[in-house]
Amino acid sequence: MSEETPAPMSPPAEESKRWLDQPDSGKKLFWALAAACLGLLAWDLGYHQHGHLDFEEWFGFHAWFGFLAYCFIVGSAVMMRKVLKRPEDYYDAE
Amino acid sequence: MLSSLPPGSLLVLGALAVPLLKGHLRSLWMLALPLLSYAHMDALQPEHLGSFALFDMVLTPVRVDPLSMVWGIVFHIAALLSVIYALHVKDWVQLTAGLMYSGAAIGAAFAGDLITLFVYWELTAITSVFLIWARQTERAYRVGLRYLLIQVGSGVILLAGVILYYSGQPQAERSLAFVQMAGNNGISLAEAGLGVQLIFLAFGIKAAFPLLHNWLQDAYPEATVVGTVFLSAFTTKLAIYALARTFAGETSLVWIGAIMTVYPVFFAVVENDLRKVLSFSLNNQLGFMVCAIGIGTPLALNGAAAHAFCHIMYKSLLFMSMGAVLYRTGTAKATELGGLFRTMPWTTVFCLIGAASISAFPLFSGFVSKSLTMSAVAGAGFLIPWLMLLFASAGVLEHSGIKIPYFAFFSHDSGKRPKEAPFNMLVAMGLAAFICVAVGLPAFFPGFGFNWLYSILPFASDPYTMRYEPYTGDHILTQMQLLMLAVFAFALLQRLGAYPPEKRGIILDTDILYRKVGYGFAVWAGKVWSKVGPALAGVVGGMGSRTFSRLEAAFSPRGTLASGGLYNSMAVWTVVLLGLALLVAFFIR
Repeated sequence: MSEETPAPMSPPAEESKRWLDQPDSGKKLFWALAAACLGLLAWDLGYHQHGHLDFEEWFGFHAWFGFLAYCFIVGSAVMMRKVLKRPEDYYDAE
Repeated sequence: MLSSLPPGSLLVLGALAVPLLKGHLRSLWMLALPLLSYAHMDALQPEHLGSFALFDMVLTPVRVDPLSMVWGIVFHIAALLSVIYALHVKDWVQLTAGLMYSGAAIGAAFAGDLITLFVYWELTAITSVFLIWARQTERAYRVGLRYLLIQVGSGVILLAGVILYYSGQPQAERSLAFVQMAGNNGISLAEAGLGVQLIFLAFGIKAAFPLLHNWLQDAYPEATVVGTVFLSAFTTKLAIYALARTFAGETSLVWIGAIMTVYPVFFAVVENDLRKVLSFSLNNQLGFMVCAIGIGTPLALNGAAAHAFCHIMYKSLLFMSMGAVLYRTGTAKATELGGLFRTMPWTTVFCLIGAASISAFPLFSGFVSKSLTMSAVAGAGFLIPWLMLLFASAGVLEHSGIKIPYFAFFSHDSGKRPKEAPFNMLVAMGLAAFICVAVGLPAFFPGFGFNWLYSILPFASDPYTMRYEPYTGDHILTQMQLLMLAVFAFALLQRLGAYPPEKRGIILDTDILYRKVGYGFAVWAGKVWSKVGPALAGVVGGMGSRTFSRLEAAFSPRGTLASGGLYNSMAVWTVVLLGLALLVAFFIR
C-alpha cells in the first residue's frame, strides 16, 4: 500500500476565482453547447448526406440517436442501481 | 546472435537485471530495454520465419508479417510509456513483472505456431499477476488468485484445443501453424471441430467475451497504480490479435462483438470506482475490434488493427490519469473525488485528450480508427450490429468521455487539493496524449496524421483502405451530431437535476455465479462434510491414523481448503484442469 498514501492536502481556502468557479460559468457553457448543437442541425439542413444505410440520410438521425441513447443509458442506470446495487463489502465474506 | 532471439526476449531477459540495479542506473536500463527491443524487432526481415523441428512437429517461434508488426509496434510503445510512468516506483517486483509481461506479449504477437503461442500465453498470465499482488492487500491477493486461475485456465483450454486440433488433422499434413482456422477459410466455427472451438474459447476468455468477462473488471482496478497501466495494454489486445489471426470472417464474432460493446455500457454508468469504469470501457472497446474481425474484410481487419493501436494509447492514457489521481489522493472513487482540476491541471488536460480520443471526436485518434470499423460493418450490411455499435458509441461518450473527467476533475468540489502528478507520470501522459492527437489529425502532409496510422496497417495496400478518407463532411457531421447531442443530453439532465449522483456500492454482475453461489456451495459442502466427516471417521477407523489426519488437515472444515473458502481451492481446480488436459492428451494418442 505504501505507494498510495495520500499526500497532504491544503484546504480550499482563499483561492483566486477561476473562470470555472464563477457562479454563472456553467450556465454560459450550457448555452454555448446548445448553440453548437443547433448549428450542427442547421448544417444538416443544407447538406445532403451519403450514408451507407437509408435512414442515415434522415434529418438529424445521428443527433436524435445520440440524444435518446444518452438519456436511455442514464435512465437505465437509475433502474440498475435499484435492482443490482449492493454495499461495498458485499463480497468481503468470501 | 541477437537476430536469432525472438522479439520481446530482450524485455523478458533484461527484466531479470532490474532487481540488481539501483537508482538512475535502473531507470536508464528500464528505458533502454523497450528501445533496444524495438530496434531488435525492426531489424527482422518481413516474412521472416524461424522454424525448427521438435520430434515430428515443426515449430515456428518467430514469424514476421504485417499483422504481427502492428502489434509489435504498439506493444513496444505501450511498454515504453508504462516504463516512463513507473519510473518513480522503487518496488522491483512490479517493474520486473511489468517488463517481462510486455516482452511475453510481444513474443506472442510474433509466434508462428500454437505451442509457442501457448508458452507466451501462460507467461503473460504468470508475470502479470504480480502487478496485482504488488498492491499487497488481502483483497488484491484474492483478486490475483481469481485472475490467475482464469488466465491459466484459458491457457489450459488453449493447450487442450491445440492437441485436439493437431491430432484431428490427417497424419501426413499435421501442422501446428498459428494461421486461419475458421471464417475466411470457408469453414464455419460450428463445423471446425472441438479443437478449434476450444481454441476459440481460450481466446474468448482473454478477450473478455460477454459472460467470460468478469476477470477483467475484477482484476484491473485492484492492481497497483502502475500495474493497471501495464495490464490495460497487453492481455486483451493479444487475444484480439489471436482472433484476427485465426478467426477473421467468423460471423458469430460480429454478434459477440456487438453485444460486447453494449453490455458493459450499463455497468460503467453505475460504477463508482473510476478505474473499474475504465475496465468496463476497455471491454466495450474490445467489442468494436471483435466485431470488425467478424466482418473479416481487409477494411474491417485494418479497422480492428487501427482500433487496437489507438485504443492502447488512449486507454493507457486514461488509466494513467486515474492512476495519478489514485496516487495523489488515495482513492479513485467518484463519490470521493471532484474539483481536482484546480491543482492537477496537466493531468486534467491529458485526461480530457484521452476522453476525446476514446469518444472519437474528430481530430483525435478514435475518430480515424472507429470510422473504418463502422464503415466496414455498414458496408457488409449488418444493420442491427451497426446500430448496436452506434448506441455503444454514445455509451463510450457517457462513461469515458464525460463521467471519468467530470467526476474526477470537475463536478462538485471535494475539497481535495492534491499536488500535480509526479513529473515522470506527466511525461508518460504527455507522450500518450501526443500520439492520440498525432495519429488522429487529417493528413495535412502526406504520410502524417491518420496517413501514418493507415500505412502501418496489415492490409495497407487494400484499395478500400487506400482510398478511405475519414475526414469527409458526412463523417464529421454525423459523428459531431451524435457526440454533441449526447453531451447536450448530459448538460440538460445535469441542469434539470435528473442526472443520478454517484453512489457508493458495487453492482452485481454475472461473477455472482462463482463468487456468491459457488462460494455458498463450497460452504454448504463444508457443512455437509462436518456432519459426514466424523461419521466417516468412525468407519475408516481402521485406516492408519496418520493418513486420516493428513486428509483431514486438507479437506475438513478446519482444514486448508475450507478455511479460506473458495479461493484457496482454486489451486486445486487449476490442478484438476491441468489433469484434464493431460487426460485429453493421453487419450488422443
